[in-house]
Amino acid sequence: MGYYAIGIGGTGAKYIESLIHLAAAGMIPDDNDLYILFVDPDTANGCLERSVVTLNRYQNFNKNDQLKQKSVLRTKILSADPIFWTPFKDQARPRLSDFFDYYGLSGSGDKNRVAAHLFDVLYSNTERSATLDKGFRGHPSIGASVMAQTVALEDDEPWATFGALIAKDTDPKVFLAGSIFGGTGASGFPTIAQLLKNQFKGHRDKNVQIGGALVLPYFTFNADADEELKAKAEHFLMNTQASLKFYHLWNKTGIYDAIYLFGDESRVEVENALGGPKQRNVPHFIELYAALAAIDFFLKGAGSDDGAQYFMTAREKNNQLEWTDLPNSQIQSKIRQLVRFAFAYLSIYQPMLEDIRQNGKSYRAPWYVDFFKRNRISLNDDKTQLALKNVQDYCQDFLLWLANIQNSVGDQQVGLVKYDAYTQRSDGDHLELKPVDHFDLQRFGNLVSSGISESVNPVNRLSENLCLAKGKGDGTGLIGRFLNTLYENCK
Amino acid sequence: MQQRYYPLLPSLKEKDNAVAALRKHGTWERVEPNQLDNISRSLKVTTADARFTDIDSIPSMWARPLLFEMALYAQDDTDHPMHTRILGEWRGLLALLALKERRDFPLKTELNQISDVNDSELPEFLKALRKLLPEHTLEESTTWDKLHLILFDGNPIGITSPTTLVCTSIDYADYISDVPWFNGQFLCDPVPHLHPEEKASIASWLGKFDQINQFTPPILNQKLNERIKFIKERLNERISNFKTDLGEATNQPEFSDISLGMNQKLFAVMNYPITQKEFLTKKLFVIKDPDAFRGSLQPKINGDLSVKGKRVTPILPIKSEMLSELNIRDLNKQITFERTEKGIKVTLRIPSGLEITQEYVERQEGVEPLSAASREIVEVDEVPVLEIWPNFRKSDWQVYYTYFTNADQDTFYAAPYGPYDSQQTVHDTSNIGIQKEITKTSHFPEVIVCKYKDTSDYEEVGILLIPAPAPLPDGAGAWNIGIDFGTSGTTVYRNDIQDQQSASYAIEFVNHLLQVTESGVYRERLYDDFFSPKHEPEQTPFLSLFQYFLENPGTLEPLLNGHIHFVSNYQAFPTAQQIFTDLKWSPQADDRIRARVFLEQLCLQCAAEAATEGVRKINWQFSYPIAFSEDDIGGFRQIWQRIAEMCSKVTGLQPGEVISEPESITAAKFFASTRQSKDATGAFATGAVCIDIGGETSDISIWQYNKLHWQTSLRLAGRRVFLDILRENPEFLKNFDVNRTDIDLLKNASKKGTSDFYAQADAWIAESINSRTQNDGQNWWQHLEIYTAEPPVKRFVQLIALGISGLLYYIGLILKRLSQTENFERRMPSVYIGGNGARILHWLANGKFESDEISKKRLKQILLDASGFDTDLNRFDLEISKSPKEEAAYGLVQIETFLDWNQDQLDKTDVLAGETFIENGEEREWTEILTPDRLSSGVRPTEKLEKIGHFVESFNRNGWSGGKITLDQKTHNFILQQLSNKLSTSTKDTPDNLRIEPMFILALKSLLKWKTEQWSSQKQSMDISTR
Repeated sequence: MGYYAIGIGGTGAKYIESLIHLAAAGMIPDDNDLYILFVDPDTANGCLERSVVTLNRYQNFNKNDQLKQKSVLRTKILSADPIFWTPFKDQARPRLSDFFDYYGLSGSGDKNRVAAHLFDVLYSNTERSATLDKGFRGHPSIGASVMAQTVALEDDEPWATFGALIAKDTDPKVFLAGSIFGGTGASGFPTIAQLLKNQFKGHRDKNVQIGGALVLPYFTFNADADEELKAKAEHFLMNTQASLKFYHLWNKTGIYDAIYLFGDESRVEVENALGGPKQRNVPHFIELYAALAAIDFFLKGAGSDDGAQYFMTAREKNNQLEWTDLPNSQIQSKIRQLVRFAFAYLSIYQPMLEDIRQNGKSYRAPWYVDFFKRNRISLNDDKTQLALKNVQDYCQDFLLWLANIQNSVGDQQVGLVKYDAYTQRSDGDHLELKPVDHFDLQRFGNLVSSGISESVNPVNRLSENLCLAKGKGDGTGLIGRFLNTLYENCK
Repeated sequence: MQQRYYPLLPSLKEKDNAVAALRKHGTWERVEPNQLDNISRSLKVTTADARFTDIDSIPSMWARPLLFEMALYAQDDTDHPMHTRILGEWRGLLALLALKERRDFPLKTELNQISDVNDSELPEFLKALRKLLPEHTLEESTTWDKLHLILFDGNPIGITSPTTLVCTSIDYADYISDVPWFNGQFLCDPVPHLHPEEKASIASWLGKFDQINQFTPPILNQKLNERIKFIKERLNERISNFKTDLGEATNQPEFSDISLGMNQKLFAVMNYPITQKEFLTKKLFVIKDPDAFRGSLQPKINGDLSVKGKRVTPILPIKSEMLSELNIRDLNKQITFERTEKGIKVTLRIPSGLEITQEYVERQEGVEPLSAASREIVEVDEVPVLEIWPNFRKSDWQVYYTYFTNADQDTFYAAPYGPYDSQQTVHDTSNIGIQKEITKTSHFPEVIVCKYKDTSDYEEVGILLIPAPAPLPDGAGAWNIGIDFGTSGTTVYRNDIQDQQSASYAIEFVNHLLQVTESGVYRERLYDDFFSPKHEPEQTPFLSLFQYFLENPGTLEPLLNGHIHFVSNYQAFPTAQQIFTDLKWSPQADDRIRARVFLEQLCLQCAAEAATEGVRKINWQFSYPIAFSEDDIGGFRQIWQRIAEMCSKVTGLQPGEVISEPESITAAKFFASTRQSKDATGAFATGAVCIDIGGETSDISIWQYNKLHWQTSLRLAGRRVFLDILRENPEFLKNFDVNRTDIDLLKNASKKGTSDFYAQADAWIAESINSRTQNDGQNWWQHLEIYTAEPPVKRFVQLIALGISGLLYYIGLILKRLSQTENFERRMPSVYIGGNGARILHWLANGKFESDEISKKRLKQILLDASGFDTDLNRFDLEISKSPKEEAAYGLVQIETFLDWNQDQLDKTDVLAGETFIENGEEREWTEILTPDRLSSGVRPTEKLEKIGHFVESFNRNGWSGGKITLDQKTHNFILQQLSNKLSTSTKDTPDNLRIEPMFILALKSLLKWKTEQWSSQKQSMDISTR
C-alpha cells in the first residue's frame, strides 16, 4: 500500500511541504511510502520551489546510506522526474487563446467560427489573452479547460510514473489538496480527481481511494490597482461561496471518498504576487492541517459510504491554536521530538562535530568517540561531510518551517513552538534562523509548548544519554546510529 | 450547556449561520455533505457591487452557464452574490430576443453543435468542452451539445442554455450598443426601460414559456434529478416574477413568421420574436407641389423638403392599420420629415415614446426602380379632388361626406379612415380604378387614407391628417325655415322664431367645403358630383334640378347617389348627366323619391347654415300647390315629416314644427307684408287677388276685408305661357341677338325631351336675368324693350299676352261668381302677381311692366270684362312682385299675419269650371264647381265654348299688338277635341288622384297650343333673318 500526495497550485505545494515535515517526524502511518506530485503551471512559483527544496533535502537525508536509521525521516518519499507537472511544458508564455488556437478558429470556416464565438461566450478576452505561465490567475475555468485537455495519466511524466505506481499498488490512497478560491487549485481539485477516477476507479481488484483537502480562504493580500488578470483577494470569499455551491449542486466532491474542509478567519496577509518566484508565501498552519488531513485519510481510508465523507475540525478557543486543537493525537510529541532533534543537532552536535573536525580534541565529546571515532567515521571525508550537511539542511528547513507555522497565525495566540529560541527577524521582517551559537539552549526543554515544566536541564540529560548509549543505536548507516540515538533521546 | 467549539473556517455570518456546530475540537469530525452548501451560505461575504464583480470560481469550461444558473436561481444576493446582476442579464437578454423585430435589434443565432469527440475536424476547444458536458437539462432532447449562439451585430453576447434558456457571455461590453437596458458593461433588467406596450407584449410572449412545464427532463442521478426539479420551480418563479414586473399582458401581440432559428424543443418557446409593428409604409409618396394638401395638417419638416431639387408635399407614410395605436390628434407633431443626402428621413414618435425612423431613398434618374421591398420615394404629379362637407363640428352633428375623384389618373385614391356609414363608389370604365367616391361618416374624418396603384392594384401609401375644426358652440337660436319647392326653382327663407319682428331673409348656402387637396380645374367636378364649390354663397332661388351620380343608383340617398344640381354655367349644363327636372309635378314614383332626396339635401344644407349661425331648433314650413291632388298633398306632408325627423337626427338640431301651407296663401302673406308695399295692408282690407305664377302652376288667392274668399291653383304658368312657346321655335331667339351657341343649346335640349328643355331653358334664362355682362347675347332679357317692338316679336308677345290674359280672365270669372254666390262686394280688388313667372309680364310691357300703364290697363280690362265689375280702372292696382319667386318662401316664415282664413278653406279643392259643360247629358253653367267626383263620373265640354269665346273677344278688344286672335272653326274644334280628351282621361283616375283643372283653363291652354303651333309653322316668315 502506498500513499500518494498531490499538491495543486501554491496551497497544494505548501501542503506537500507540511506533509514532508510530518513524514520526517514519522507521522506517515505504517511507514508506507509516500509519492509526491506537484501540479502547477507556474513552475517558478516560490511556494513550489520551497517545497521542492524541502523534498530534496528530505530525500537527500532519507536516501543517504550513512544516515539510514528507523526513526527520523524514515518514510520513503518518492517522486518522479520531473517532480511537478505543468500543462505548458513547451510554451514559454502560454495563453488560452494559443492553447486552443482561438485565432485560427476565428479566421477559418463556419464550424470553427462558431467554435470561436462559443469561446467568446465562455471566456473573456482578458482570459483568452492572459499569459498562463504564472498560473491560471485565479480563474479556475481556465485551468479546468487546460487540465481537461492536457492531463494524460498514461503518457506524460510525472503522471506516467504516478499512474504506473498506482497501477501496481493494490490499495493506493491518493490525497489531493488545493485551495478552492484561487486558480490552479480550484481548477485542478475536481478535474484531476475526476481524471483519476476515470482512470482507476471501478477497476477490478483495485481500490483506489481518493481524499482531498478543499482549502478555504486562509490568507489575503492587498489589492493593487493594476488591471492584470490575477486572483483578487477581495473575491476569495465570493469565489469560495460560488464554488462551494457549485461543488454542492453538482456533487463535484462526490468523486472523492473523503473531503476535508477548512480555512481560517484571521486570514493572514501575504505578499501580493502574480505567481513566479515572488509568490513565496510563508508556511501557514492551515497547510499543516492539510497535511494532517492527508495523514488522517491515509490512516482511515475511505468509509463504506457511497460518495464522499466530509470532515471538519474545530478549535477550542477562537483565535487560539493549541496542540490539542490539531486533529492528531501524536503530533505534539512527534513535532517536539523532531524540533528538539533539529535544534540540538544544529546548535550542539553539528557545531561540535565541526569543531572536532577542525581542532581535534575529540575527548570533549564522548558521544563522538562512541558513534564516530570508534566507527571510523572520518569527519573530513566528503561523504561524511555531505551526510552531515544533509542533516543540517533538513534541520534548518524544518525549524524554519515550524517557526513560520507558528508565526503564520498572526495575532492569534498560538501555543505550539517557542521559535524565538532559534529564530530572529530579518531586515524584511521575515523569520530566519539565528546563528547557531545564538540558539537559546536554555529553552531547549520548552521548545514545544506542553504545559509541563521539565525539572532537569534537557540539554545536559540529552548529552548524558548519548554518552550512555555507547555508540549503540538503531540504524544501518554509520551516522544513522547517532541520529537515531539523538532522535530517540529528544522525546 | 454544551461546550462551543470554533470550526476552522473563514469568517462566518453571525446570523443565519447554517454551519453545523462541531462537538469536539482537535479532531476530524465527520459532517453531512450539505455542509458545503451551509458553509457557502454562511460565509461572511461582503456583498460587492455587482457592476464590478468578476466571479470566476467554477472549475469547469462551462463555468459561465453554470454560474449563470446558480446565480439566477439563487434566492437573493446573500444566496449568490451575482444573483441580482444575473437576473437582470437574463431578463435583458430575453427582452432582446422578444423585441428583436420590434426594436430592430441586429440579433441572430447560430447553432453550435459539438459532435462526436472522434470527429477529427472538431476543434480542440470543442473537444475539451465535450469532455466536460453538463448533463442536466429541462428537456431531455435539448442537450448541452447543441446550443445556439446569440449574436448582436455579429458578435456573440450569449448562448442558449438547457437550464436557464439563455445565458449571457462572460464579457460582451463592447458588443452591444443602442440598447437602453445595457449599461455599458452588461444587460440589466429591461423593465424600467420598456414602453408600456412593449411590457404588455413581452408579458404575452413569456406566456409561451408555460409549455416548459409540459416538457420531460431526462432521468439522471438522484441529486441531478432533484436539481432539475428545483430549476423548473425556480424558472417558473423567475418567469412569473418577470411577468408581474412587466404588468398585465393586456395586448395580444403578433409573433413574427421569421424564427430566430432556435428549433430545439426547449428553445423553441422563444423562437419567434414579437412582430415589429410596421408603423411606416414601405414607400414615401410625395406630390410635386409644395402645397398639394392645403386642407391637411402639415407635419414638421426640418428644412426644405425637396426631391430632385423641387419642393414636394409628402403623404404621411403611416399605415392606417396602426392608427388605433397612435394618437391621431397629435400625430402631425409626432412625425418629422428631413431631407438627407440620399432621400428623406421620416421619424415617428409613437405614444409610448419610442421613435421609429425610416429613410426613404430618392429614385435616381435612369436607374432601375428599386425592388418592391426597398424603401424609396415615389413622386406623384397630381392630387385627386378631395373635399369634406361640412367643414365644422358640432355636438350631435353626425353626418359628414367626403368626396373623392381621381382627377383623370386612376392611380391615386383616397378615402376617410375608419368606419363609415355608407359609401358610393363609381368605378372608371375599366372597372379597376375608382373614378369617384363619396363616403358618408358619422364623424368628422380627421384621417384620410391614401392608396396608390403603381402596377396592378391599389397599395396603401399613407395618410393625410385633416385638422378637426373647433366644435361650434351650442347656440340657443331658433329658426323658421320656409321652403318653396317650385317646379323650376326652389326658394328658402328663414327668420328668427324668438323675434317675430325680425326680418326674414333668403338663405344663402355658404360653401362649407373643406378643400383638402389643391386639385385645380378638376374641382369643377364638384358641381356634378357633390356640393357647389363656389366661393360665393349659392343664392336662392336655385333651379329645382336633381342629378344622379349613376344611371341606376338603386337606393337613393342624398349626396351618395344623387344631389341637387347647382348649375355652374348654363353652357356647361348639357354635359351634366342624369339631370332630372319636374320633380314636383311628376306622378312617377322615381320622381317622388328624387324629390324627397332633393329636399333631404336641401334641409341638410339649411341645417348647416342654421348650425353655423348658432341655431338650436328649426321649424320647417313648406308650401304646396292646391293643384296637387289630395294624395299628392298627403304624400308631400309625409315626406316633409320624415325629412324633418331625419334632419334632426343627423344634425342634432331640435325638431320643431312641420307646417304646410298652400302656395296661394304663402304668396298672399308676402303681398300682405311690407316687403311688397307699405300700403299692402290697406289693399288687403279692400280686396286683393294674389297670383303666384310659378313654372307649372299659378296659385291664386282672393281676399276681401282680409278674409280669404277663394284660393285655387291653376296649371297654367311659366312653362305653358312662355317656355312651351319658345320651345316650338328656339331659332326665334335670333331676333334677340341670342348667339348661336345658346340657341343650339336649347334646341339640343329640346330634342332630348321636355324636361331637358325646361331645365336648360331655366338655366339659360336665370343666367340672362342675372347676367352682368353688357355686350354679349346673354343679357337680352334685360333689354326686352329693344326687341319687343319688332313685328316678329310682337306675334310672340301676343301669344304670351293671350296666356296671361286668359289667366286673369278666369280670375275675373271667379270674382264674378263670388259676387254672385258669396258675401263678396262687387268691387275689383287689387291684383298682385308674383312668382318666377311674373317676369313674363315684362314681355307685355316692352321690358318694364311696372311702368307700363297700357299693359296694366289691358289686363285690368280683361278682369273687369270677366267679372262684370264696373270698378274704375284707376281704383284698383295691378302690380307685380318686387321679389319674384321669393313670395311663397317669404310668406311661409311669416307666422303672424292679419290675414284670416281657416283650414276648411285650405282643404277645399273645389274648382270653378269657368266654362259650360255637359254632365249626365245636361248642360251645366260655367259657375259650377268641379269636384273630383264629378270629373271621375264623366263630364264633357259644350260645343259653344262660351267663355273662351268671350275671352277672345275681350282680348282682341284690348288691342294687344301682333294682330287679333281668331277663334275660327279649326281652332274651335281643336280646343273641343283637346278638352274632350283631357276630360275623358279624368274618368280613368280615382278622385283622390285627380288634379282638377277648370274647363276654362283647359280650353285656354288648348287655344294657346293651337296658336303657338300656328306661330311656329309660320316662323320662317316671321324670322327677321336679316337682323
